[in-house]
Amino acid sequence: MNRRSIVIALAICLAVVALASAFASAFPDGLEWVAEQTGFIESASEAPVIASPLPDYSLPFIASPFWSGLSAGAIGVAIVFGFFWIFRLLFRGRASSTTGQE
Amino acid sequence: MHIPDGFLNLPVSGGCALLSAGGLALAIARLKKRFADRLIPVMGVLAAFIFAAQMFNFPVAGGTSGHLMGGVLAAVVVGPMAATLILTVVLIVQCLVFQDGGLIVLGANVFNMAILGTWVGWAIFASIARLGRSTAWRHVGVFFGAWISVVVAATACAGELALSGTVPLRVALPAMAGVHAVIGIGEGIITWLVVAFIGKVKPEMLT
Repeated sequence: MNRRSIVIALAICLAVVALASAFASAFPDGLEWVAEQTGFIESASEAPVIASPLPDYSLPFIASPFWSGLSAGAIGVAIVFGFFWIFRLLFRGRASSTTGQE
Repeated sequence: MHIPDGFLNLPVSGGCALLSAGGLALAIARLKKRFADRLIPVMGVLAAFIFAAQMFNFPVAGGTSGHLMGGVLAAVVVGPMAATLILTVVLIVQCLVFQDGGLIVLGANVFNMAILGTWVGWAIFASIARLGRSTAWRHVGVFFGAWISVVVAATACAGELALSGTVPLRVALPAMAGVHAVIGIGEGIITWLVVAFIGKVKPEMLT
């Protein structure tokens, strides 16, 4: 994948995040629904083991649900893609030191 | 179907974590030879897309909702082992940053969706595509593989809930498999659409 297609692909990801922030269904997901129907929803832990910075895909200090969701989603896209990008840089460094190429 | 903490007991969570560690070790070992410079950016883009698509819950009949799991989507493009790593990274970020899916049960979520669902779904896709040997059959394989990946992951989830003593299997299994058989249709359609789109604009990605 060249740089141009990566940029286009990431723009598509952000568009999906924007659509999700505007239109995602607030209904419980399949597992939550089953848990409610069959009565074990209350066995879910009240407090998380560690506090997450952006719970429920939102930035607490942005009032608009759309912009809050869009910003949180954009951060998520950046973290997930960034993980692989950093991995690639590390891998490149190692590959070039062992083969002397690049 | 991101399991929150509290639904599974510690032995089941621990057992799933061990299974996931084994699956991840296998995936990394199998990938090492193929960890080409070219593959990693594609994995990053797929991971970003799957993360974004997982935010997009679509309504399903009966007041519930579902979103893409993405295991078969990733597997069709980069193979099942790379798909496992992609979904694992997405699940870890969702758990740690967005509080979606519990930390203690992270191993169970990885096992259900990134490993078992993805591998079974990919195997079904590959079998159907190989049997049919045509583009039309490949599409059928993509849809059916994606559908079954969700049903398999939900079935495993039901088993873990039952083993943990949270809910009896005779209650959990039909409910989980039933609702996810419907959500899986969404998975099949989205996966099919995205794979068809990639085939149109970047066919070399699907070889």
